[in-house]
Amino acid sequence: MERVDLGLAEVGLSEADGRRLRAMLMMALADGSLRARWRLVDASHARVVILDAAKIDRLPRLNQDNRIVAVLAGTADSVPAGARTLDWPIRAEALLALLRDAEAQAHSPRADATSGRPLIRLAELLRRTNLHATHGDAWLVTGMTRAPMYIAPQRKQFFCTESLRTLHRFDVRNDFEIAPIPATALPIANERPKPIAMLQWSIGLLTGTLGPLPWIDASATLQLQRFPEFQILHHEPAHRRLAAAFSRPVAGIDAAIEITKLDRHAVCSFVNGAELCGYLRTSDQPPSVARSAARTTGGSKRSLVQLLRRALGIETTDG
Amino acid sequence: MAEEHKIIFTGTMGAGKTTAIAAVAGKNMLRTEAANTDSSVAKATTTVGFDYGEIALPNGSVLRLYGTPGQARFAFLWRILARGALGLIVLVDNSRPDPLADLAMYLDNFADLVRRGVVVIGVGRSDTHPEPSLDSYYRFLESRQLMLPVFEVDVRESEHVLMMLDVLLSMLEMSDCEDETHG
Repeated sequence: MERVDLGLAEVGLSEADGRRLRAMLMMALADGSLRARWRLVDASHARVVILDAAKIDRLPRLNQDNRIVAVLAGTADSVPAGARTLDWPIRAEALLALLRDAEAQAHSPRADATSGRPLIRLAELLRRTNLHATHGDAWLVTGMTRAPMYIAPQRKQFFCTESLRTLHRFDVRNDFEIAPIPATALPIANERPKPIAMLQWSIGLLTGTLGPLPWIDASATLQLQRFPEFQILHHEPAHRRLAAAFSRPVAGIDAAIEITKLDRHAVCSFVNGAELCGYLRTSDQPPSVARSAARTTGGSKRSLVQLLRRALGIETTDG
Repeated sequence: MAEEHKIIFTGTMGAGKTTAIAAVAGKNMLRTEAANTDSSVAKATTTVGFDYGEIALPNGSVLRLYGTPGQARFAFLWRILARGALGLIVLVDNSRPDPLADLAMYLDNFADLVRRGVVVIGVGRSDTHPEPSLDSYYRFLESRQLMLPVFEVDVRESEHVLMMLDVLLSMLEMSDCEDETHG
């Protein structure tokens, strides 16, 4: 197979960390397991960017074009929810894993097929509203619902006269329009705003049919840092079970499928929804305790739980 | 063989334990209320023993829902009730002076259930008292290296109570088997 050229860049690293990154790249290349020819480039041409935690404000701009951005962070650094991290100091194994993931994503038909889809673009926009550096603009989405949807990132709200149930019936293969509008064009006077988490969650669920969102490493350790607000979010009973599963670290999407016995679509929908809402934390570190279905959903316990659900009259259609 | 299972509701006086149990147990509920003599809490009666609701399971077993008396002087009773419990729902009243301290007290006193991760926290009256926010609760839990579900709820809404119970059952379902046998 022809080897492709892929670029690695660093942004904001100290001189010592920059030297260490170059040394670790040499070691990763010497390992011989990488499929691409990796070289250091500037950030605009990079497939992978290592961003120093002190320059976290540059994350939204770098997080585009299917680029993988890993924030080099020590234990004292705070990193926005959903951001990929690389533990300081850089280790060759961690860098190698990062570059392999980028290669896998570059060769993934899914990544190519979905990179231009408006749904993924909308998901990216909604994800950025969780970051501190949101711009002052607003967005108008037409073609997803009969009524237009207005998104106000700075207010963390959206406006739509229709129920989100309409949105859940949207065919992800269909096209729709996203256009920037001035904040003054928002229908603040006429429509009641809704929390943007409702839209983030719903769009995340919709994207589940496409697999994990392009920037989610399906093999990374995933854990909720807070529970979805089920009182206001449109959800299915399975999502409560998924939330319970992800309340502890889970070693990736496949592990979650095994633990919960739910299908990939359900797991990816939940993970994408949680990610867009900023509820999800990802890490390169494996869970300290390996979990499996055998350990977590023993037959007798599962039977008891199902029995209790029925007695309480709790809906268990997909449980 | 018919078995008995129990779920505990705890929280400060007036947090809504009795209401929550009544929302799911309906008529099958025993209340042990007396006139409230604590003038700092605006309610006519309070639970002096414990509330008890019962739900029959199809296989002849029974699910018992216990509401603890809220005051710390009954901590000895909390520990007795917690023995063998499937899980715990902590109801926090956000209108109280220090809801996070209230929560800390219950987490400390039900440490075994907390360690097993079979706990759900319901925050009441957040519509009129938005602070501490849910973010504050999660930061507080993280400072204790805990990841437990926290929901803003109105326990008069049976859907909210059932949602908490379902999440609690999910936490039980997803908890490690080993832990459960130690519980």
